[in-house]
Amino acid sequence: MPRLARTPDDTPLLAGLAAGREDAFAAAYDRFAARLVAAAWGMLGNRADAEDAVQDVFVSMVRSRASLAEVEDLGAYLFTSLRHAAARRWQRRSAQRSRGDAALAEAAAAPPAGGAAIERADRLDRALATLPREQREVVALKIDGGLTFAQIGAVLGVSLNTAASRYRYALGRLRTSLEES
Amino acid sequence: MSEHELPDDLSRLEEGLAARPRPAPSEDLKRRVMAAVRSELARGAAAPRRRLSTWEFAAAVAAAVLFWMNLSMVVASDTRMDLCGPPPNGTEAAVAALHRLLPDLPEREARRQVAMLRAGSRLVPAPNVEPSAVQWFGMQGPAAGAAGADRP
Repeated sequence: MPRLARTPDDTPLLAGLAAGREDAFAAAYDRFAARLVAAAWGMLGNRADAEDAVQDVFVSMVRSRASLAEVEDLGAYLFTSLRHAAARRWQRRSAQRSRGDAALAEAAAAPPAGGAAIERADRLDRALATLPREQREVVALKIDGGLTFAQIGAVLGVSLNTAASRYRYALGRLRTSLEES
Repeated sequence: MSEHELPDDLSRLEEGLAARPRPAPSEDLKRRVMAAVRSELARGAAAPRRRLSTWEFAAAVAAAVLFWMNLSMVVASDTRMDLCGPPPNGTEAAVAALHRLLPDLPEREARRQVAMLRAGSRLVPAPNVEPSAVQWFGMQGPAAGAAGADRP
């Protein structure tokens, strides 16, 4: 499972971002893009939307760079921004949209795996699509983004225990959905 | 079992979720993102925009409201409504009216008050000092100290 690598001190990178240095944005992309795309894909279920959301995150970061000097945890900041960007895209999508065919296409494009693995992943994706947005967010942040419960709490604006219980509840709903399908 | 440890079935489900394939960023995503970043940097190079926080916005609104309240009160208190304009019947009628109200008011003071009213001033009530008292206090100067000391 990917973990959010937290460097001991983000101050130089944050200073470069606040100063509007292009190389700092490139460094932030190199460090966080893979996890951001994975988490956005977990929230939105679609690669194109996920990449657009990540682009929104970086554009938003440029626009609000004057306030970046006050940021302590760059990872939490980026995932919080991603959550908002994904929510905006989620709202734009019609309620009819689900991971369905897109998930199959993603699985087909994924690294080679056994047929059973693809089928299982597809079932999980379909079950994830049935979760409410708040529960899907916490699963995506934990599983796909690799955040700790403390970081998820910071992103969602809730306590660590609330984040953990929300995650457990989401998994329970997911299990029920899998059993019913 | 720790507080955040999952039961076995949920733990297996978590492992399954973690093992499912997830997409990596596409080849051109970095180019797209950096192009967008460059574009935004160029656009905001002159004056980087900074959104006001909620508290800053609330403070700005409160300051504006207080300013306009203060300004409106200043304007209102400095505005003369001219509800008591100059006497309508001429100077002599006004002097006569003053004399009816204050029979002891000297003619000179009555005319002075009417002149002030006509000039737009407000009528300031003045004490009607007895002539004997004026004389008594008028004699209390240093030069008249001895004469004043003899008075009972």
